[in-house]
This record gives sequence, structure tokens and C-alpha cells, in this order.
Amino acid sequence: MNRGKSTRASWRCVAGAAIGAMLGGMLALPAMARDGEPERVALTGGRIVPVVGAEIARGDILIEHGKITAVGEKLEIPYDARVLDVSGKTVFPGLVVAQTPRGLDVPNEMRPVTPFLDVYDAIDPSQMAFEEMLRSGVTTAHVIVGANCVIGGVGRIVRPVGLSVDEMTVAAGPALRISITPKGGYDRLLQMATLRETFAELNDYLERLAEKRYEEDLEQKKKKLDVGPAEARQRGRELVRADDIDDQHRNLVRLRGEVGAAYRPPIGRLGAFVYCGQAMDVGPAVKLAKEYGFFDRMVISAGGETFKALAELKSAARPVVLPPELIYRDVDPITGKVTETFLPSRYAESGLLWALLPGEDASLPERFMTYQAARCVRNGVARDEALRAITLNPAKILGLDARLGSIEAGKDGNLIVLSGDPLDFNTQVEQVLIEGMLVYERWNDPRMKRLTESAPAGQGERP
Amino acid sequence: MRNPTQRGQAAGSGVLIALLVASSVLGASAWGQDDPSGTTVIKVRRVYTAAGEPIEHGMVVVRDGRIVAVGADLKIPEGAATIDLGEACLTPGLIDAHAAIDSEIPDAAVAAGRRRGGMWEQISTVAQSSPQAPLAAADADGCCGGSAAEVHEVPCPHQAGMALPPTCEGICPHCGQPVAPAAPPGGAAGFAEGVPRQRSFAEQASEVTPHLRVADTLNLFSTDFTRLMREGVTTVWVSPDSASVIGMRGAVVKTAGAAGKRVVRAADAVKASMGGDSIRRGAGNQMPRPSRGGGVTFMTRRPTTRMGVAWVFRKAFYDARRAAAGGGVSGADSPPAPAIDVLLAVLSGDVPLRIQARMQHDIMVAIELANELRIGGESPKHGYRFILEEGTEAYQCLAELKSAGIPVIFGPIFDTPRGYRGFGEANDPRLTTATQLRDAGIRFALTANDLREEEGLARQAMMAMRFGLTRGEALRAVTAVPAELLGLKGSVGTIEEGAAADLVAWNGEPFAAESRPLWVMVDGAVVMK
Repeated sequence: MNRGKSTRASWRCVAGAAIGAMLGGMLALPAMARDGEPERVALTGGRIVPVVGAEIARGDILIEHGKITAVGEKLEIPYDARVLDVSGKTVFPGLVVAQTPRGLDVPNEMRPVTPFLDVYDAIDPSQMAFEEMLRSGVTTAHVIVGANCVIGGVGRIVRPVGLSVDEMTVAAGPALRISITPKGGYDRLLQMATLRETFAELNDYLERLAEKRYEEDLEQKKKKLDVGPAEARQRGRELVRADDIDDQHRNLVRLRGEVGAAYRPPIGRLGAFVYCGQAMDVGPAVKLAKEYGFFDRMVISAGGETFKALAELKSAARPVVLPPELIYRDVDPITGKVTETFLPSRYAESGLLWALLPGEDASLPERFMTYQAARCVRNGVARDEALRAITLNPAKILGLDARLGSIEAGKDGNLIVLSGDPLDFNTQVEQVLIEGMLVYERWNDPRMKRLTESAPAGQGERP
Repeated sequence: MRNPTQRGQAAGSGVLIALLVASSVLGASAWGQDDPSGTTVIKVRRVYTAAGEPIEHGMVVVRDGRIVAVGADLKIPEGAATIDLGEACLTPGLIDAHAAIDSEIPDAAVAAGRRRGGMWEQISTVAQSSPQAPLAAADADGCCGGSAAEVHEVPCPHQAGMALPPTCEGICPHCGQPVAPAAPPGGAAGFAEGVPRQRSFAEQASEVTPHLRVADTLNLFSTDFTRLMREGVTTVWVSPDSASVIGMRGAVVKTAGAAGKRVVRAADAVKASMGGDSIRRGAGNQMPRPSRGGGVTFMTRRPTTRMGVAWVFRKAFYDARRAAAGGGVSGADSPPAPAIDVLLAVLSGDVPLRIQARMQHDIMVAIELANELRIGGESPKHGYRFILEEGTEAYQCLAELKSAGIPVIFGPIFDTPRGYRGFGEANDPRLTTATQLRDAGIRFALTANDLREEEGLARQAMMAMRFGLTRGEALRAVTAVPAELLGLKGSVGTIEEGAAADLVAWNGEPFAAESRPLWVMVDGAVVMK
């Protein structure tokens, strides 16, 4: 016990120094992992809200090598585990943001079709956005380009700590960004035409590539061209390797499935986060996704009005990421009369898989995902469902529900220690653990200190 | 309702059913007034009176629009109608003593001003309802075409719920967030209107206009009042704009009820403004600029600096004193004759004064000027020389505010300044200011000013609680204290005998993130259920 205490204290010290350094943009996660990360961490005596399964009024959580290995009452804590006494606190899974352009220097490029982009090149680890994520309990975020595009780039799933994108990376991006709602300066005609043109060009490219590969193959074998171009293209298909595809087309090939006469070179899969800002965008999105074979890997990024196509969304049965603004206001164009719709209520009724996003950054309450969930409860959404919408549902949407989104043995040790119930606005995020590492402590957060301190003595005096 | 079995079921099945039953039995309109005895009994799980301790399983008896009894085990008067709100909690109707009301008056001058640039902040929430809406002109200088320096002079239209025109690329230049594409025809990003509306009430004819009344431009049917009422706010002090050094007189107004009875006080306190608002937010009180023709026009009137603001303030009151003593008043900055009577009333304390100031030095100048001019009389009539509004940096001069006895209508609470608060005067806020005011023993109320919904008054109380106030303190800061500051103590803001029956029932603890107002009564009439 003695040993446990002293190591705990020293670890606190490390973590405290780390958080200070991190908020100055200095934290090196792997370095810290080498120096200070305990192999076993135990959170003891806290109320556990696991999202999956029943709440534990007073329980322990054991994390080993970054993974949760046991959750329950009165666990046997290994002698060498660093113990975090969280009695009186509530432990909740780290929150998951299903999509955000925050952390990028600019959300979108000027060019409309940029499937070759990867946010890997643009994530700025020192952005305030990541600091803000930690402060509000977010442990995983899918950073992806904004919706002001025709085809944007590939995102990346990151933890909000680390000095470089590599350190931050949890997983490579699962999806490309596509927008059905017209990009700035475009109208729907041009938006859809550009999308179709892009995929048509992809077909042409792959055909030409097959033909070229066949010809090259013959050349290598010192044979003469023996068939017409159509047959050459057909024969060349199986010769095309992943490496042959250029950067311009690689992600599109990964996105497109095997549909119709198109062939598919051996290359990894990619999904799409398809922005449908309005109800009228849902139909074309579904059609496009089916036509090009990525329907089963499509996630709908909804805008406010999109809920009006709920019937179409339901029959498509694809996951939906709700917009940050949860109330949609329909304004009668003549009278100006406003009709309000609370979106989560509608999506919760629909039975679709849906996820909440943090609200507007400048709004003090709305930027907390837990507050967004509390608003859902306020408007009649079941508490469990609201809690899932900020944890397990986004994890599922990102294909990481085996690792994230709940407190269960086998999952990543991403936990937030709260001063009270997750949905109570008086609750503060006190500590954040990512993969078993203590990366945030409220009392070592310089910005929170500044915002809650009194004025220094002597101020307010005028000569 | 009189059937005990039925009542039991209603209570057991929750508030909504209770309401349905109640409405089916009693009819939908104005409970308590249709009833022969004119008496209504409201039953809830807990009554927060804002005058004392909460009452468990409390009852409030209302007659003729007033509260006649409050308690736990009251004898129900014969023939009284009962409204059983089940598990709900009851509070007094909230009071925002510094509300910026969107009057929803379409204003061609504002539209013109916006096209010219520099009047963005006067437009509350404008979104385009069609791609060719007048917004295109505004964005030519506001969003896409503006220089970097000018970009920050306008509040973020993205955050104001405005859709940007298709010509704007990618991100909002103000907030850095991706911009949603243009709003659908008739659809809404925020409160799409297509018509610019007037929120500010700044008369540009003079810098000193205490003889004007906000009540004269008030649209009692503005949906902003309905929005406030639905958030539980039943009384507001409609604030004049801060774009005049000595501005207009505010009005105390109920947010719902019969239009004829809603204006409680048409000519209330005079609002003054210390700091940059009158320089920046007037119709461009700017130096003569080559880009604006270079000439001196009414657009370039004084003041153009904080020194000028203090001078206009000081001179107005000296002029008033001089006029009262029979002396002549002259000069370009002189208050108009009708203003002098009001200024004298401010000096004598017959009309209260409010000063809006955000930064510490502005607050200090306000205190100095008020002391120097002996505003409110030698020993001030109300116990204070003026009420401080906003007070973003009030935490920096707690001792001075305390010793001068200045009450504060503090708010809104934020840590990321935006809108016109993003201009630089509110860059150093503290989340704990309300708590610090409490600890310093300074009387304070909370205000949401122009913010609504998730940052509305109830949420301001919620945020104040997150940073240290108790529920009781937060409640008083949005009910009893603003009532006192409006001189309406015992009349609104508390649930006590004799007070107006302005009541809000919440589907849980008031100000909790998971609860909201579900039933509102104003002057004895149920206005939301």
C-alpha cells in the first residue's frame, strides 16, 4: 500500500507536468509512454456509467497496457497498479466526435474535387480545438474536411493529445467527404454533374489503365498486340495492382465498390461521409452511393432540414450524424412564423443509428456534448439513448465500437472522471485518461485557472 | 378533475396528462378567470418562492391575477379550480432586467446601413431566404470582400445563424467554422427572414436622448417576447441601445398576456453607455475618412474616443444644471431642451440611471462621473447612484463597486467573446464573476441580454451555478433581485402574497440541463402549457 501511494504521487507529478506541457503544445505522447506510463492503472471506488450494461454504484476499473481488462465491484487490484482513487466521482467513457473539421487550418480547399487530400497533412496538433476537446471530455475525434466541397479528402481518427499527427492517430480515416449540398459558388446542377463526371472519369481512367497494363505486359513478354482495345482492357484488368493507381484516383477507387461492369483493383476500402444539408439531398445521395457501390459504407452527415426526408433515411437505414445545431427552424416565407423541430427526438424515434456533435464552440453550454445529450433528455429522448449518441453510436459509425464508446473489458482505456452525473451541467470533467494515460487534470488546466480566478490584487485602482 | 381517482391517475402519469385532464375539464383559456370564484390553486412538487425556503408539495392560490396564498397545506377555497402540475417545480417568472429585444420591425434604414457597412450589429438575425436576397450586397463588404481588418469589425453572421451566400468560400472568416451552404428557399438557418430587422433603438439625431422612450418603438407582438416567455422569462426591462452616450429610457414589459396590460412602466430608467459602444455602434461615429467622402457629416459627430464619451456625459449634466439655474446652454454637444428635464430628474434621483460598461476602466470612469455629478442626489435616493450593466470586468473592481454601493446587472456569461462582444471590450471575462460579486457582497442580477435559448436567462442561471452559485442564489439573481432593481419588489419576482401571479413550472429542477419550462402563467393567465 505504501508503495502504491508513493508511485501514485509520482505519477501524478508526471501527469501534472505533462498536462502543463501539453497545454503549451509540448506533450510527446510516446515519449511519455516510455517514461511514465504505468502498465496497469486502476480507478477505484467510483460510480461507473458504462453506457453498455448496468451502472455500478461503486466499482473499480482495471486498465492494463492501455486496455480495460476488468470492470466490477471490489476488483482485486494488482500490486503494481497505479491507483487513482475516484470515490465520489463518476467514471464515463471518453466522448467520441463523429466528424469535425476542427484542428485543421482550413476546413475546405478552394478546389471542388480533392479526393487525393488527407487531413494527415493539415492537422495542427497545437490547435486550441484539441485542448478544448480534452477539457470537455472528448478522447477521440474523427477529423475530416468540411462540407464545402464536391468531394473532399480523407479524414483521420485522432486522440486530442500528441505532438504530431502520427502520435495523435488512433486509426487512419475511414471515409472520404462527399457533399450533395452544393459547394459555395455551385448550384445543384453543377454539384451533381461534377460528382457524376468524377466517377465517369474514374471509369475511363481504370479502363485506360487496364489497357496500358496489358500492353506493357505484352511488351515485357516481347509479344505483339494481339487483340482490340476492348479485349485488351478486359484482359488487363487482372494485371492492375494497387500501386498502379495514381494519387488522383486512389481514394476514389477505394471508395467505389464493384458495381455493374466496373472492375475493382485489389485495394483497401474507404467509406464516405456524405453531407446532405437538406431533405432533397438524401435521395441523390442514396442513388449515388448505390450507383457507385459504396452504399454499405455511407454515413449521412445531416443538416437541419434533412430530417424531413426521414422516411427515405429510414429505408436507407444508414447511420446519421446530426448537425451541431439541434433545433431546426422552419420559417414561413410569407408570415415569418417560425416552427421549431428538435432534431434528436425525430432521429431517436426513427430507430436509425445516430450521433450527436458538440454544438457551436462559442456557446458555453452547447460546446459540451454532454449538454447536447442533456438537451435530448429534456426533450423526451431516453437517457440511455442520449448517452449512447455521444459515445457508442459515434464509435460504431467510425467502425471502432470494438475499441471505443463504452466501459467494457477489452476496450481502450479511454475514460473521463466526472465530478457528478454526465448530464448534470454542474458536473466538471476532472480527469481524462486516454489508453490508460492520465492526459488531463482540471486543476492543472491553465486556461480554466485563468477563467475562474479572481483579479490580481491591485487591479482596479486608479491613480 | 374533482374526481379523486382521476386526479390520482393524472398525478401518476405525469405532468402532461395532468395538464390534458385539467384542460379538458376547465377549458383551454385563462384558468382561474373563467372560474366563478376567480380562484385557482396550483399544486406542484416544490415551490421555489425566491423569497424564502422552497416549499415541498406546495400550493399557490391565485385570484384576479395575483397570488393570495402560498404554502404546503392550504385550505382550498370553495369552488377553486385546481391545476395539478404533478412533479413539476414552480418558480416565479424570470426577469431579465437588461434585455435587448428584437422588435421585428422591418427597417429600410437598417438595410441601407448594412449595405453601407458598419451597422452589422444592429441587425439581429438576418438570413437569406433566397439566393438573391439583399444579403448578397452585405456580404460583398462583410464576408468575402472585406479586408482582414474589417472582417473582425462585424459579428460572425455564421454564428448569428446566417447562411452565407454561395460566393463565400469554405470557412467563415469570422469564426473559422465551415460555412453551411445557402439556406433553402423559405428554409431556415437561424431565424431566416429575408428582411433586415431592427434590434437596436439608437436615435442618431443626438448623442443625448433621455427624452426618448424605447416604449415608443416597441412591437409587443414581436416573436422575441414569445421566445422569452417560452424560456420562462415573464418580465423584461427593454434596454435601449448602447449606441448613445446618454441614451433613451427603457421600459418594463411583460412578455405575454393581454397587450393592453403588458407595459408595466413605459418610461423607466435612463440608459447611458461608457466605453466604445457609442463610438463604434452609432451609425459610424467615425473620423472623416476618404473612403466615406472625407467630409464632416452627421455621421462623423462626436464622440470618437473614450475621452469624448466622458465629456459628452459630463457636459450633458452640467448643461442641465446650468439650464436649471437659468443659464444658457450652447454648443454643438448640448442636450436638447426636452432632455434637460429628464437629466435633472436623473440628478435628483427621480429617474434611475443605468450605465452599461464592460471594461474595468470604463466602470471606474462611470463611478467617478456619478460621484462627481452626484447623480441620484447628495445621498442617492435608491441607495445607489446608478446600476451597472454587463460589467464583464466587474471582477476587477469589486472593492470600488462595493464601496460605491453600485448594483450590477451582470451578464451574459461567456468565455469566447463574439458578436459585438467580440470587438475587444469583452476579451477578458471570468466564468466566476457572479460568484465573486456574491462573495464581495455586491447586489447583482443576471442577464442574457440578446442571447436566447441555450444561452438564455435560465441558462445563464445554469452557467452561474456551474461556476459557484447555489440554485437559490441563481434563482434570486434572475427573479427577486432584478425585481428589486426595477423597483418592483413584492410585485414581481417572488412567489408571495400580493405579488403578480407570474409563475413558471419546470419539468424538473429549475435551471437543470435536463429541465425546461413546461407551463407559464402571467398575471394569472396560463400562457404556455
